[in-house]
Amino acid sequence: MKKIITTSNELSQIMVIMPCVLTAAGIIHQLKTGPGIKDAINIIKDIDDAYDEILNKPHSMVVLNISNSSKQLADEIKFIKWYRKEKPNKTIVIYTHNHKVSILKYLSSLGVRVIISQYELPSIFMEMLIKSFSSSIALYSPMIKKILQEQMPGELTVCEIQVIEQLILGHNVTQVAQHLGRDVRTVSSHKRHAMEKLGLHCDKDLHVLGCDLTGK
Amino acid sequence: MLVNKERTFLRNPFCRAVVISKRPLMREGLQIVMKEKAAESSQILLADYLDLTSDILDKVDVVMFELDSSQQEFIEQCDFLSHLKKESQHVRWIFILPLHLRNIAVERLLTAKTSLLSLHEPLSNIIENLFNNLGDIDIISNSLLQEQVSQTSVNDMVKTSLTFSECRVLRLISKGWKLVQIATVLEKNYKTVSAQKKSAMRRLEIKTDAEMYAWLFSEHGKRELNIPPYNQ
Repeated sequence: MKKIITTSNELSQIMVIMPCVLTAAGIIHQLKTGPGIKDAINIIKDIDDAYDEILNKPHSMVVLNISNSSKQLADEIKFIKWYRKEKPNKTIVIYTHNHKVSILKYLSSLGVRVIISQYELPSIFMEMLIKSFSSSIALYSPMIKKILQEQMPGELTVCEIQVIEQLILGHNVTQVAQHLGRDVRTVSSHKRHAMEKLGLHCDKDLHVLGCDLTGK
Repeated sequence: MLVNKERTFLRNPFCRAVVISKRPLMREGLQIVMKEKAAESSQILLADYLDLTSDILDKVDVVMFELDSSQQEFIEQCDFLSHLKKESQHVRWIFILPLHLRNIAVERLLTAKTSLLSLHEPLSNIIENLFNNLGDIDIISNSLLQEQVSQTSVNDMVKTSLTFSECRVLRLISKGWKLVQIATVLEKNYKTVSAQKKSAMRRLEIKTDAEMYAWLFSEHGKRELNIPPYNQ
């Protein structure tokens, strides 16, 4: 059952943001020889270059590497947020090297639909990539599912993201409440719900995630 | 882009390599890159380093190993590797490292005929290390050296002199305990513990909780408090 997937625009590319050249070579090979996808592939080595490429060239999808090193990770998270705002309708596929539960939960709560582990076999990678073209539900590769233990976290609400971001920056609940012009109790419950969704148990967990996300 | 047309000189186009990486597409990518450069080269792809035996090592010239683990696992790997290294001295070892293993790898792995490369290594460098038998020398690639360990905070310069009880409170905080819990365990008043935390933060010139946690998990903080390497 071979199905050829193309997007309406013939010039459109698949943007692959991948600093590791060897993995990039593997992805190119898979996409070219594997069944289904006929779009051109654009490999971007440095995430800083990705912003221009995305604004200037038509593309069907972005495949983004998520790394283990926290400095890189901070850049990648920044990119996801920017991309979700800039192109809310486009698909972003996370191809993650990082397997920390809190990071994965945070990613999915940012509204990322497709997360694939880099430990996954090429066939699974391809299968999921093809699926992500056509479906609009959340897709997690088997290994990611196992890590998240089936209990998919709900998406964070805008308020919750706002609160969490400020907390990570080092404001305390009272300060955040003042910034946002809300009651302390409102902010506190935003915090509580957000931490529940992210599977964080205590303030330490929250700040460990914060360190990872801000690259400190 | 990736397909580099210019022919670089390959000293050993018949290079036989073992590739060890947990990431299938990385293994495949390396195979493709090598075949492109030299069709006569051959590769053995392994997912787990425990599959590496001295029988395999006898038949290859290069081992390329992507290290991808916590520091504790890494120390176990080192013992296994140094044993193999002794047995087969003809092999060149190429390690691809994440940043957090850089220092410990330099200490433990860097012997003759070994290269340490970064995850973001340019292709030309990888080819150079694979095909051109670089002799007995050891190499740390520039891109690995240039990668920045997350910004060293100003606090690193300050010589801290925390008191014993301040250290104790901070150590418990870093384990995820709440101040109330710490107070109960230490049989002190909550206010005492809170004051100790506050004065520790003052000494460290830290203003917020977030900064405090960042310091606790930084290399410097862990050294100061004698906390073993923080993994996962």
